[in-house]
Amino acid sequence: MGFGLVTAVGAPVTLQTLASHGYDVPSLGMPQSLMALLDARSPGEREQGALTSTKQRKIAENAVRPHERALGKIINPNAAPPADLVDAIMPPATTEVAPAFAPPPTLADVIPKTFPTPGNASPPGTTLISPPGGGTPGTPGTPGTPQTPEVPSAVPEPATWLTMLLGFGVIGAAMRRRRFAPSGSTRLA
Amino acid sequence: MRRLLTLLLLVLLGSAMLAWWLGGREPARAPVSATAQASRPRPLPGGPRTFLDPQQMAQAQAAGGFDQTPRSLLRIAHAMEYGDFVWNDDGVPAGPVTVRVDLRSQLISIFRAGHEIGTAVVLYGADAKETPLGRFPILWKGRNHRSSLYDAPMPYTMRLTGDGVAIHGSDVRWGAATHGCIGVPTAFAAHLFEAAKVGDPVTIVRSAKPA
Repeated sequence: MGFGLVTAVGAPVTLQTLASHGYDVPSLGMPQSLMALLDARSPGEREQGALTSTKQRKIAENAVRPHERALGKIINPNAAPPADLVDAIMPPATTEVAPAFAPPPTLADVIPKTFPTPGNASPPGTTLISPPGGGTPGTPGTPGTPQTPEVPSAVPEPATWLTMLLGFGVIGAAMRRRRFAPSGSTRLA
Repeated sequence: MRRLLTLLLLVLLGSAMLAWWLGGREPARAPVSATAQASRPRPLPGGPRTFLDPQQMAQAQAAGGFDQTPRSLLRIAHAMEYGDFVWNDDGVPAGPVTVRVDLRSQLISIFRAGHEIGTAVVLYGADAKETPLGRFPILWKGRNHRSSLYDAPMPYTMRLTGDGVAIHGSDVRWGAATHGCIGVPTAFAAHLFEAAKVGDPVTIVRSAKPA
């Protein structure tokens, strides 16, 4: 306020010129503080009820959509796979129950017969790699303990993509090396 | 020749994958800005300015939020309503641009070379999603940005923080709040978008209530 008075007294001509051009000149008649000037134009503080959100979250609209970008098939890890699928992939171990029909001859049946060297019994299931001394003829390999089947995703994951790209690169490098190396050697020779 | 071709193929593949990853972030359209401008284009007439005396300049220091000493304010005859704004940079010289946002009075002020060139009523974050206080240089500008988080168009986005707080055009109206952003009228945002550049400081304060 005091400064305004001093300014008004000190340079009246300039201030009058300014005022005639429509500028607002601080004077005794306008002793407002800066914050009061700003508050005068404000619509006031926000009211308590004015907390409405303006937009919806995208996730909330379709909550079942997964976050991953490339996921071909949604697999719930908790849900057990269908029983017939398990049976088709990994038949249950039916060692106790004898099959009603005669099983077709397998490799395990055929190969030991071609080398009929009786010896000590080898554990079942290792028929092909067993040493020539082992292998009781006629015992089919028992299937292993059934594990939870691993269902692959329909769309390759990013890591798979990267691995594939790396593999392509390696193949390309190998081909280039194979193609260019003989020409280099002939040039040297 | 074949080597060049292979390289080109690899680069193409890489860029395609990049585009796939970043795809759908920013479709180049801004239908809402047009509708927002049509629904509420209410710039108040930018009147003459009020030049500040040294005492008022000193008050700016105490009030906080002024990144440069203000020398003049736009003179606004009456209280602004939601959606109102003033933009007037006639005769204001070039200079550094700073932005002050006051959450208590719901106002934004743009200063250039000490003179206020624009002001508007803003929206700010709701109580559950508060707008952060502090000084934030503009990190990034996007004219036709579309929020990937809220799936909403945010024309004239000027990003302030790494987690998405920005100044952007929106339908400023009574009863609305944001998720932390500063919402300004879209036409005002267009002016600010032209005036401010990346790096210009935005200071968000909540000023003390006048006694």
